[in-house]
Amino acid sequence: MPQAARSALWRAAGVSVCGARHLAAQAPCQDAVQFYTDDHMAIVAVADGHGDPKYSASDVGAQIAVDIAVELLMELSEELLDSRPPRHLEELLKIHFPQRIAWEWNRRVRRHAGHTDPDGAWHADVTRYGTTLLGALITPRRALFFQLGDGDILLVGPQIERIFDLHDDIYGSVTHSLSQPGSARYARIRCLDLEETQLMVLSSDGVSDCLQGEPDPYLDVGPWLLSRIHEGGFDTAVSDLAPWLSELSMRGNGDDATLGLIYWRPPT
Amino acid sequence: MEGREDIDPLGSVSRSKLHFFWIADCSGSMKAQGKIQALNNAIHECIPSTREANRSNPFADMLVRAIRFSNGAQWHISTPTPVEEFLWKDLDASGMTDMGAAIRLLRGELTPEKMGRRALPPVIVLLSDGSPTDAWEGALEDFNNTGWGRPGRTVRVAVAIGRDADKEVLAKFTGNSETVFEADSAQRLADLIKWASVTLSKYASSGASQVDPSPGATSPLPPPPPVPVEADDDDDTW
Repeated sequence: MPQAARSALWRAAGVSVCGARHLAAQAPCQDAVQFYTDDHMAIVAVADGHGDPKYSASDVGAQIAVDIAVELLMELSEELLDSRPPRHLEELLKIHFPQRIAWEWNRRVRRHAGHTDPDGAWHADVTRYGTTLLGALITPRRALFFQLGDGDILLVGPQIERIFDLHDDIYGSVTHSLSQPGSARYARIRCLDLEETQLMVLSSDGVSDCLQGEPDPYLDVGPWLLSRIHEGGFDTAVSDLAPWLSELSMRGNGDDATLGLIYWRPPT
Repeated sequence: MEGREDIDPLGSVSRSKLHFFWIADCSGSMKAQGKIQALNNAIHECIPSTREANRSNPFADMLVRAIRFSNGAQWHISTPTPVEEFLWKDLDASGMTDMGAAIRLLRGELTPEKMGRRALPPVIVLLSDGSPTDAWEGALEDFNNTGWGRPGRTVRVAVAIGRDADKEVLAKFTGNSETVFEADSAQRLADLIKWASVTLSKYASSGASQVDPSPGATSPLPPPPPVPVEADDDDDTW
């Protein structure tokens, strides 16, 4: 079900639908989305559990991943107030933030798998929880983006910007995963000073994989969503997204599909 | 951004593409004991069930191509052909076993520029009854170092036709001796070709994500049809 949250500066929402292929197989949706906003920050996280039978608990792994991402990104909001250039901050965060995400995900997954008082070291039992993770933390001045595995982050303003290009290792259905040993080394981080951004979109690969072509039709998702928000308001646009994503999945590759949104409220 | 806001991206939705490649040995030895004709017959016979499998998957479009190799290598079917339109023109056999030339042809098509990077894992089926006669190792190494050629990014199997097939070479091509299957008769060849065309194409188009494998590690494939237990008839075995 679509949900939304509001603060003085932002609206945030997440919508996830079970893919047509999973519906036909009576399999659960293995995507997850989580979001948060207050007057100081907005956060969205999207995770995409791997659909293969080897990853039979990836719906749980994806939910744990987005919960952790929101919690840990929240703790970084103070650091984003730092006056150092974004590049510098990015380098600092790369040293420890992916490791914190990986450690905490391993710890909670192992607990779910029945380990007693586990630490966050990798264990083979986490494999079946395999998932990707995208996260974004927005403050009034700056934004921080996190990616491990596939999925996309778009910034929509006067220009449209895809935050991360496809990782060099990602071909076909191959992706990186939180369930890999040493997963933190595959994570990417970007920090940006934002100007005139109106909308940020996080999406699982179920969205962009159905929109392949030249010029890239995935880039149209951002402007199209923004125009829907301007026409009918944020809540209406969000409530229309579940049937839209279901249609996309049914006409496309049948994968689960998820969108996480942060919308900059216009000044009143 | 101007003008793009009115375009509903649903208008650009497409199904996943599954690229399927037959790579067929057409060297002179394939003429012996009717092996090349058995190969032709097997591919003809598997077309209806492959079409049926493709129709039952509403989320992927299977596109077929084929390479033949003997003295050098050529495209037998160069255009990615929807399986509904796929027809097999019989191959004939003569000459050498230039497998390296076939791998180079394949490599030239399996590029991000021609395939994109988000297609389903391509299925590559190598059919051979002998040992390569050209510089195949360098060609394979070059292919394995490309974006699509790296381990785990394609589904590769080989069918060793008859006793003289070099299974070690075929295992180097697939990356694993467990993905080389022996066909010692026309019936076994037909079973394996149907399995590759129907079962492997379904497997590759499942859409499930796979975690980037460590070198040497591959996902297990669906099992091939069991070898029938029959009395040996030396006249029918290769």
